[in-house]
Amino acid sequence: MPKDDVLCGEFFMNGDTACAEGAISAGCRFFAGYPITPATEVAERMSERLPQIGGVFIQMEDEIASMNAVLGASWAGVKAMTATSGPGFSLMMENIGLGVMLETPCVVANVQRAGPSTGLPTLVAQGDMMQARWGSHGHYEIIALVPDSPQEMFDLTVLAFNLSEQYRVPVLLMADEAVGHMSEKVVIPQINSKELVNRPRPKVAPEKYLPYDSRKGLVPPMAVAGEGYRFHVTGLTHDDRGYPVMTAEAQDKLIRRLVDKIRLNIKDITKYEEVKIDDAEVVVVSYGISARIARYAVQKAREEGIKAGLLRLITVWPFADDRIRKLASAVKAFLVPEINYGQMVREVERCVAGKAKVRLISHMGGGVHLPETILEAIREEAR
Amino acid sequence: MTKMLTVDTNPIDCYLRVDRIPHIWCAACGIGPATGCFVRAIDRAGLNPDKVSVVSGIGCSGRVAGYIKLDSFHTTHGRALPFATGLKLANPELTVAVFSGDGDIAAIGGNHLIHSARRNIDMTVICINNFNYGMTGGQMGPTTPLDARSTTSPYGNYEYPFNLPYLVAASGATYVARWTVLHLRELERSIAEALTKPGFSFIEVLSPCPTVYGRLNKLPRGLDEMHSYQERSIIRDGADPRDVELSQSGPIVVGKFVDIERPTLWDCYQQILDRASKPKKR
Amino acid sequence: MVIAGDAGWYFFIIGSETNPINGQSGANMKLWRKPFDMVDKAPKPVKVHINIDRCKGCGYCAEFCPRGVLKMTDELSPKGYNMVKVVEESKCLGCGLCEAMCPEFGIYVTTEEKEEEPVTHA
Repeated sequence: MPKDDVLCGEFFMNGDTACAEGAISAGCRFFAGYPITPATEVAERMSERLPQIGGVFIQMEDEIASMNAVLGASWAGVKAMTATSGPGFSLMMENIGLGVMLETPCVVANVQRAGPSTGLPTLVAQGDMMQARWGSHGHYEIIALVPDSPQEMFDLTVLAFNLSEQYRVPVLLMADEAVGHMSEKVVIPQINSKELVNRPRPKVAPEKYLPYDSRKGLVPPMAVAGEGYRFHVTGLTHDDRGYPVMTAEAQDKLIRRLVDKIRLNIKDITKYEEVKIDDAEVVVVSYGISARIARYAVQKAREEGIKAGLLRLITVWPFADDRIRKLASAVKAFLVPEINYGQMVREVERCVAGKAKVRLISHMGGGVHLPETILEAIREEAR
Repeated sequence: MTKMLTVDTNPIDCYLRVDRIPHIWCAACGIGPATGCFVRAIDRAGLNPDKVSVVSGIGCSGRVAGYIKLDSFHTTHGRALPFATGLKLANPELTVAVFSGDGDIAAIGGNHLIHSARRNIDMTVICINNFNYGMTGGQMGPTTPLDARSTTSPYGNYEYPFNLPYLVAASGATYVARWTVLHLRELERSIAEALTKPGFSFIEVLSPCPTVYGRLNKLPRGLDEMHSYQERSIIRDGADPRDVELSQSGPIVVGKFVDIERPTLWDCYQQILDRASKPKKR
Repeated sequence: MVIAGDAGWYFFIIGSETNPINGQSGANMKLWRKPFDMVDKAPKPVKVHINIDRCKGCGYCAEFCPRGVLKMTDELSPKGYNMVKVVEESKCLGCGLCEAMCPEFGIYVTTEEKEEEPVTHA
């Protein structure tokens, strides 16, 4: 296969493979990972494809090393990603925080499996959703996307890279084992390199360059190693020059910017899909594999005459606060089927603020909801 | 009578972030001299400073990255080596140096140390060994000598320390040396050799830590620890790394222990790139 | 007799009572004539610069100077550290050990005609 051969066409592939191909289409040329079920196939596909196109694949000694290698590669100017599952995700947390603090574009895929701890390594769950938001210490903001099919594994990986470059933040791809190991048709379009987003680059001379120049807006231009900018970046709280500064003022300024750069752009970042929402009385809020089942349940409910709708979250963090708040005034009940004991339902409850009923339909993991379970709940709420 | 040239600033200042000097290290700390040796070694080796990147971890030694005027990264505790691995693999033209302390590299970073050495990735690791965790107040670490006192070993350290040159050589490093900050010129030369040599180079630099380790172990002034190096050190280039373990009062064997050739990680990866680009046989 | 090493190493001059070289007398060695390259090999005049804002009084430079050029004093610097002072600048050979050893980058030597340890790239 000649170099720079990005796939194009229709394929039958599993979610993990589609994720790897999505990364390659997005321009990712560095993967560092560690085998973990059910994300291993991402690494395996990358190990096969990256050398074909002149990229670098390395299997590191653990997930901590993987995350750091990804950050290092990004600072050398190469789009980089890693893929893992629950236990590895926990290990990576400190250094996802480093990625946030250094403002490093990169993508971390978590193909969720049942936890906590070793849990059910080969079976699906959606138990890491809150961890995605709050997993690392300190207060920060992150972007997390949730695919519901191998096609979306491809599409959302491309989107993840674009968002990470645009906002200089690690973007989490919160897939689940069902979507990761499912094989379906994936259409890989011809991707024009102009459609891909690249990190803002400095336009000033090296002597004038500040790594975190707050005068350049919320997302400062990023230099990379080896270009003569001679910058210093640190995980310590720092000022515009990148130097550590141990003051409350510096902390205030830094945290506000790290969070605001995402929160103030929620409208551009947060995506969701609405199915039959306009006149819905019962709205099912779901994501990932649960949303596929919910979609079927909503369809069946409509056939029975129930005014049901589906709000499928594609961007789970930052959460679609405004949409839920708006719906809360118009809707009787929200149903939240998720494969955990209640994580995103808390966000829905927070936004609904008591204006409507919010009901969790939980499945602890190891399998997916039965459509009948969701349908029955819809029926009950519609009465 | 020829005029005396007066230079207003220390010639090394062009390599330092002078807006951050004076630095945070204690009086008589050995990290300053080690940093000076590193910077002079870059010149001695004739490297382009724009292509030299410094990655450090957490601790007093980790602060070096913040004072050198090169592309520098102050990363998380123990993780300088994998960060540097990613940096180097993504841009093989960079000369990557990792500057960190004994606890950062050998305790929390121990796994990364042995794997980076195993891979023989082309980088230079300067491990400043002051026998304790200085920044956090003087706790014992994996290189604290047996029976030495520290704030977490008030009755004496009951663990055997690492013999770092042995560990790294056994893991596959192609250049292993140990010097003390007293051996300034040798250290400078060693770093210059390591920076230009392809492969994983590891230089252990013994440094006084008068504020904590020294004070707790009857070496209260930096001069006391330096005198102890002067008395106990013996230069033995080519010594077997097995025989260079350190103890509280035994000899300190310094020198260049290992200097061998082995294909680097990138050399091996080139073969993979070749194989991957060949069309599949049908 | 002059024993010289390369710049950066210890640079010793051993003169004699009868034939002092550059006004310095050293070990007891009788020379039967003045060396032809005496002027050539004579040490260049050097100046020691101490940055009293940086010095933290650790004493390394004074202790390890091979020629006894520096001494620690009881005088305090503006920052409150014991200062080091140049006591015998004429003995300095510009070896630069103090410059290399100072943990604070607070002392350096310059020689006539060239800067000490020229830093060429930065």
